[in-house]
Amino acid sequence: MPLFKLLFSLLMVFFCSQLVVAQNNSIQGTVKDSRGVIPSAKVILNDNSYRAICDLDGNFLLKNMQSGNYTLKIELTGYNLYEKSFTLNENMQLNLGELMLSELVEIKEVTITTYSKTSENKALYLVKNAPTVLTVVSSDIIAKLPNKNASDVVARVPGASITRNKGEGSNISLRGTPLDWTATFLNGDRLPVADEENATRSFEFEILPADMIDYVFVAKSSTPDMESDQIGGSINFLSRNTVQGKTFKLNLAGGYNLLANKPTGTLNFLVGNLSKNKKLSYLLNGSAFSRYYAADAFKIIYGSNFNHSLNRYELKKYDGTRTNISINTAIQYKFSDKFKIGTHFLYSFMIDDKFQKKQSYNWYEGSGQRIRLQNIHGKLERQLFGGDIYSEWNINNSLKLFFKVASYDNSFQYGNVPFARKDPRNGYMITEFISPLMQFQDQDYVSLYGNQIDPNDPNGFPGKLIGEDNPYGNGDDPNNIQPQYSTIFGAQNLNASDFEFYQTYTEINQTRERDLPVIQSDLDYKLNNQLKFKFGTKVRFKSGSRNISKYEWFKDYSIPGNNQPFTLDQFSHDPFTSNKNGFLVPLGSNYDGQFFSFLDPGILSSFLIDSSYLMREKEMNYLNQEYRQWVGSNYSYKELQSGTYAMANYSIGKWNFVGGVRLEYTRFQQISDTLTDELAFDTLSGNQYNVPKSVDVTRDYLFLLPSINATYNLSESINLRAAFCQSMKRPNFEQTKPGFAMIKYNDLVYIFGNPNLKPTYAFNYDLAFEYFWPGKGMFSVVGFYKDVYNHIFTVTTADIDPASGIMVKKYENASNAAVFGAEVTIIRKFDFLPGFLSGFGTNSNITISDSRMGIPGRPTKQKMTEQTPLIYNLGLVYEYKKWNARLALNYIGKHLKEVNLASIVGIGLLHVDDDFDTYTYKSFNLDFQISYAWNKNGSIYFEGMNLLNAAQRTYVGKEWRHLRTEYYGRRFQLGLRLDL
Amino acid sequence: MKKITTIVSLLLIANLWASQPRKVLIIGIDGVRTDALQQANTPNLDALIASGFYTYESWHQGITVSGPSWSTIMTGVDYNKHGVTSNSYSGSNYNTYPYFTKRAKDCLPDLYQVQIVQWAPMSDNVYNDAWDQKIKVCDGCGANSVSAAQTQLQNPNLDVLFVYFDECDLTGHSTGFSPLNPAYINAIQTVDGHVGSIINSLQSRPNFVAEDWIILITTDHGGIGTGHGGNTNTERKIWWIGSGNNPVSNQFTNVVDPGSLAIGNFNPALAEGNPSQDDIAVTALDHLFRGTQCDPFNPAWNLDGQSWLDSLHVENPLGISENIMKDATIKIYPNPTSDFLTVWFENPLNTEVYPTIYDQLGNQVLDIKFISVNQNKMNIDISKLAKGSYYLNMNIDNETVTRTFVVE
Repeated sequence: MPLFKLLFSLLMVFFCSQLVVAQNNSIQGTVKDSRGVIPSAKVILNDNSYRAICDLDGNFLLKNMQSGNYTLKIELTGYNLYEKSFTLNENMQLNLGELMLSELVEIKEVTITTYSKTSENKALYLVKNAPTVLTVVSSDIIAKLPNKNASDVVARVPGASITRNKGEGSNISLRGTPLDWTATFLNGDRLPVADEENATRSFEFEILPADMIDYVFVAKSSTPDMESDQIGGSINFLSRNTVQGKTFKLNLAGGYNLLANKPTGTLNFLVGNLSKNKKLSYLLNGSAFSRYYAADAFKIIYGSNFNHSLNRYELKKYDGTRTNISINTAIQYKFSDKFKIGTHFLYSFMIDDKFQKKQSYNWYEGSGQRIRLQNIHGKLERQLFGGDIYSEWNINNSLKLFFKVASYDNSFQYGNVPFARKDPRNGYMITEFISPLMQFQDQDYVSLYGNQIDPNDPNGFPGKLIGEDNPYGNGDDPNNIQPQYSTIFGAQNLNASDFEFYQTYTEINQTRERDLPVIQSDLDYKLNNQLKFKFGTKVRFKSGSRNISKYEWFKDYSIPGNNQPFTLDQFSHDPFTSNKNGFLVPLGSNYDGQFFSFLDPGILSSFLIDSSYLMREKEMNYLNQEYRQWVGSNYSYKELQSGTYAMANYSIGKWNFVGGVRLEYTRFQQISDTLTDELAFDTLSGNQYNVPKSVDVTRDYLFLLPSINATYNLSESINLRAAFCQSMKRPNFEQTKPGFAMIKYNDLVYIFGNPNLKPTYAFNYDLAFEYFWPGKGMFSVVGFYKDVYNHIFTVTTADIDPASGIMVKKYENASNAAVFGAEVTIIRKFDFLPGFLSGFGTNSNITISDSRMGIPGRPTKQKMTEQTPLIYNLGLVYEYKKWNARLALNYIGKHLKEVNLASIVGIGLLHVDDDFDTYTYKSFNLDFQISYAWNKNGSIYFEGMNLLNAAQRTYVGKEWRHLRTEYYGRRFQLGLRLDL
Repeated sequence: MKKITTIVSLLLIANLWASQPRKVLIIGIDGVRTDALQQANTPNLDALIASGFYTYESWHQGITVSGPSWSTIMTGVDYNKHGVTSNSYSGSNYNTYPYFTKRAKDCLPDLYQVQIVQWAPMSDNVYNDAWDQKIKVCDGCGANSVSAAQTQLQNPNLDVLFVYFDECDLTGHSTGFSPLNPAYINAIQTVDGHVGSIINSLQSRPNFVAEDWIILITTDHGGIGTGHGGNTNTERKIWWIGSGNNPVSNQFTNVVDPGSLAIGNFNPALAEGNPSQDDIAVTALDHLFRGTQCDPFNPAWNLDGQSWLDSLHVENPLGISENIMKDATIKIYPNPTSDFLTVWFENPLNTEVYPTIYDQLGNQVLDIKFISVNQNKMNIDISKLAKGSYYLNMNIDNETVTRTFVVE
C-alpha cells in the first residue's frame, strides 16, 4: 500500500507541476571534442548556481532560470577549461550549439595516449555523474580488445565474472550472483535467447562481436525505467549509433592459437557519414571474425549416489573453427532539433564447426565394460537479427516523448552435418566405435558406501575409487587416472581392428525465441532544473520453442552377407592426438600409448552416407521404445511482459534522488508433452506405445517494484550513494516447463520443469563511496546486501530412472536466501612516477561476498548455489606516448553449483553435507596486450590470451574430485588497426 | 488281454495328447542375480519354484551380456555358433542358427508365435525368427508388457509367447545389482507381480484346461556393482524355472559349474547336469514337437542345449489339467542347501511362526522368531550349520509341521 501512495504522490506532483511554471527561458547545447560528443559532462553556470549533466549525445538543457549574465564552465580532465559568457533574458530560448572542448595535451603531437585517455575519462564522467551505481566501458577501451565478443569487454568491470565457452566469454554475471540474475540489454532491450544447451533468459554473447558496441553501461542498482530480471544488476550494450562526419575505420588482425596450431583472423570496418545539413547520419559496421580453437578436457561421471566410484571416464579433444559475421546499421534523421527518428538493425551469424574426439572408459554399462571411441562433429549455427525504430520528440523544453518499437529473433540449430541443409536428421553427429567387452582390473571391492570390506564378502561392490576416496589407499591420482584393463578374453593391447562400429546418432536441436514486438514509450517531464519526472511503459510479446530429438543409425545385420561389423581399421583413421602438443600437459597426465585411433574427422559424414544402405535408421518418435526419455524435450511458449513505471529525479544542493516504482506483469503459456497411461498399438511396426499428450499451462504474476537511489555529492571528487530497490527475476522456460522431464542426453540427466515455480525476488541495498582523481582515475567501495526470496535452484533426486539409468533433477524454490558483500575498485594512473614510469596505471577491482541459503532437509544453511564469493580483476596498464599495454588477471572463485538432495524413502536425504554437491572450481585468466600507434590512424598490436592456461573445472564435494576439466590453451595474435 | 488293454489305453492317451494343443510360455527377466531373487519377496515365482522344476545354480556358459545371452536362450546354441558377442549384435548368424521359433514354424507352419520385448535391440537385430508378431513396448515398462501379453493370451490360437522384462537390469545398472539394494529388490518384486498377472491371464484362458502349457522362466545374467559382462560368480550364477500343467517338483542343487566359453574352461560333459540358457529353446521345441513327425534334436541343427521337458512336467493322460500350484501348502527349498533355506507358504501368513531346527540327535540348533505379514516365504540363514541332515519344525495355527533338509 505505501507503494501505491508513493505512486499517487508522484502523479500529484506531476499534475501540480503544470501550474507552477514561472520563468520560461532555457539554454541548451552540445558538448563535443574533436572526435565527437562527450557524454555526461557536467556543465556549470556561475559557479554552481545551475548545473546540468549532458546526456549520452552530449546534450544539456537548463531552463526556467533567473534572467541575468552567466558564465558557463565545463571543466573536464584532459581538456582545456571551457568558458563561455552570455546573457539570458526572460522567455529567451538560447541555443549555444556545439561547445567544442580542446584537448589539453599538445594537440599537434597527437598520440594514442591522449586518444584513449580522453575516452576513458569520458567513461569516468558517466560514472561520476550518474544518479545510480554505474560502471561504464567506452568504445575505445573496447577497440583495444580485438577478437573478442561483447562479454569480454565487461570482464574488467568490478564484480563482473564471465563464464567461458572454449575460451570465449559466454555469459556475464555481476557480483558473482547466479548468471540469470544479471540482465543484459542491447540498446535498452533484453534480447531473446536461444542457446544450444542452456535454457536461460541470459543472453549468450558468443554471437555479438565487441566491435558492434559503442558503450557498455553496467548498473548494479536499478531505476524504475529499466526492465526487470536484474537482481544482480544489468548491463546495457549500446551499439554504434551516429557518426560526426565522414568515417571509415578498418581493423585487421591475425593471430595464432597454440593449442589448435592454427591461425585466426579478424576484419572489422565502420563506414558512416553525416549529411551536409547534418540531418542524416548513417553508419554501417561490419565484422568478420574467424578463429580456430582447441581444448583438452576430461570428464568423470561418478556412478553411485552412495560412493564416488567411477562410472565413466572421458578423455576429450576438441578442435573447431568459429566464424562470426555481423552487420550493424544505424540511421538517424533529425527533422529539427526537436524531432528525430532513427533505426538500428543488427544481423549476426555464427558457425561453430566443432569436432570432438572422445575416448571413454566405461566401468559400468548396460552392455558390459567397454572402451568407447566417439567421433563427434557438429556445425552449431546461431543467428541473431533484429532492430528497432525510434523517435524522439522534444515537444517543448519540459516535455520529451520517446517511442520505440523493437523486435529481435534469436535461433540455434545444427547445420549441414551429415546431410545437406534442411535435412531434418541433421544434428550434432556422434559416431561410435566400441571395444570388445572388457574387464577392468582397477576396481576394488568396497561396501555400498565405499568403505573397506572383508575381501571374502560376496556383497562387495567393485568400484574404481580415486584419490582419497579409495579406502585402501591405492586410488589413482585424480589428475592422472589410468584405467587398467584387458578384454574378457584376456587381450591387453587393442588396435583399430578391435573396435567395431556401434552406432551413429545425431542430436537434433532447434531452438528459437522471438520478441515480436517490443513497444516502448517514455515521457520525460522536466518540471524545473531540480525535478524531473519520467513515465513509461514497455510491452513485450515473446514466443519461442525448443525441439530436441535424436536420430540413430545402426548397422543392419539382417541384410544378407552383412553380419560382420565395420571395424575401424577398414576406414581412414587418425590418432586421438598428435603427440606434438601432448594432452592435458598442464596436469602432467600421462596417456602416452593409451590413445586409440579415431575415424578420420574428414570422412565422418561420408562414412554414414556411403554406408547408409547397410544401416537401419531409427527416428525418435512416439513409436520408439526410448520415447519416454525424450517426450518432454520439446516445448513452446508465449509470454507477455508488461512494465509500467513512474519515477522522479530530484536534485537539491548536493543531493540527488532517483526513485519510483515499476509495475511488472508477466503472463505465459507453455506447452510440452508427456505420456499417458493409455496404450495403443501400431500394427505396422509392432510397437505398443503410450499415447502422448500435450500439457498446456498458463501462469501469471505481478510485481510492484519500488526503488530509490540517493547520491550525495560530498565534494567535486567524492560521491556517497545509497540505493534500495526491489527486483525480480522470471524463471526460464525450461524451469517452468510442464509435461515430462527434459533430457540432457550427454550428461545422463533428466530435468523436470516446475510450472508452479515462483519468480525470484529480492530486496537490494547498496551503499557506495566514490572518489575521483580528476582525470587520473577513481576509487570506490560499494557494500551490498540482497534479501532473496524464491531463489531457483537445481536439485538432484535419488530417483535415478530405472528405465534409463538417467539421473533425475528438478527445479525448486529456496525459501529465503541472503547475499551480501562489498566491491572495491581502483582505477588510477601512476602519474606521480617519473618519466616513462608515469605511463603505468592500474584498473583493478575485487568483489567479496557471502551468502546463506536454507536447503530443505539439511541441518545447516549453506552458501547459495551459483553465488561466487570472491572475484577479482587485477589490471596493470601502461600508456605512454605511442605505447599502450595491459596485463589483466581475472579471478573467479569457487562456488556451489548444484545441490544433491537425493533421498530414499525410509532413509531420507542421502547427503546432509556437501560431499555430493557440485562446485565450480576457481579459475584464473591472464591476458596481455601491447600496442604501438605510429600515428592517429594506425597501430599495431600483439596480444596473448589465457596466458596461465588455467583449467576450467567443476568438482564434486572436494576440490580434487574433478567432474570436468578443460584446458583451452594459450592464444596469441598480432594485429594491425587502421582508422582511416 | 492285459496287453491289449495297455495298447488301447496307450492309443487313447496318444489320441488325447494329440488333441491337446501344446503351448509354450517363456518369460525372460533381464539381469536378476540369483541371491537377490532368493532374497526378494516373489510369491509368484516362488509358487512356480515350490511346485516345479528349478535351480538357483544355472551356470552361465557364455558372455554375461544381454545380446549374446538372449540369443543363446532363444536359439539353443552358444555364442560361438549364433555369433552374437555383444549388444551390437554384430556377427549374428541367425540364418544358420535361428531362434527356435523358426525351427518350430518350419515344421509346424500353423503355429502362432508372439514375442513381446522392451529392449528394442533384441527385436530389431534379430532376423529369420519366424515370429508371427514382434511386439515392442517401451523400455522399462513392465505394466505395458503385461498388458500386451494379456491381449495375446486372449487369442485361443496362441501357441508360443515370449514376454521379456527389462526393469531389474535397468535398476541394477542405475543403483546396483545387489540383494542389499532395496531398489533392485523392489524391481524384482515388481516383475514378480507382472509374472503373477501373466500366469493369471494364462490360467484364465477359456480353454486352458484343454491345453498343455509349459512355462520356462530365466534370466540372461547376474550382475556385480552396477554392471555385468564379466565372469564373476555373481554375474554367472543365474536361475532357471520350469513349470506348466502338472509340474514336477524337481530341484537342482549343487550343480557343478561346467565352466564357460568366455573364460575358456567350458566342459561339455559337465554341462549335461547344468540346466542352462541353451536348454530353454530345446525344451520348448521338444514340447511343441512331441507327438509330431518333427524332431527337436535334429543333428543338422547342431544344438547345444538339452531338453528338460520330462523333468519338469507330466503329460496328463486324461487331458485334465490341474492347478499349476497343486500340492503346495508349505515347501522348503533348496534342498540340499548350503547358505540358506527358503520356507514357502502357499497362503501368505498373517501370524507369527516359530521355526525351530533340530539336528539328527534332536538337539535344537536354531530358533528363529519370524513375524510374517502377507508374505509367502521366509529365508533362514543356515550357513553356520555343519553338514548333515536336519529337521525343521514349525508351529502354524497350532499345528506342527516338520520338514527334513540336508546341509552340504
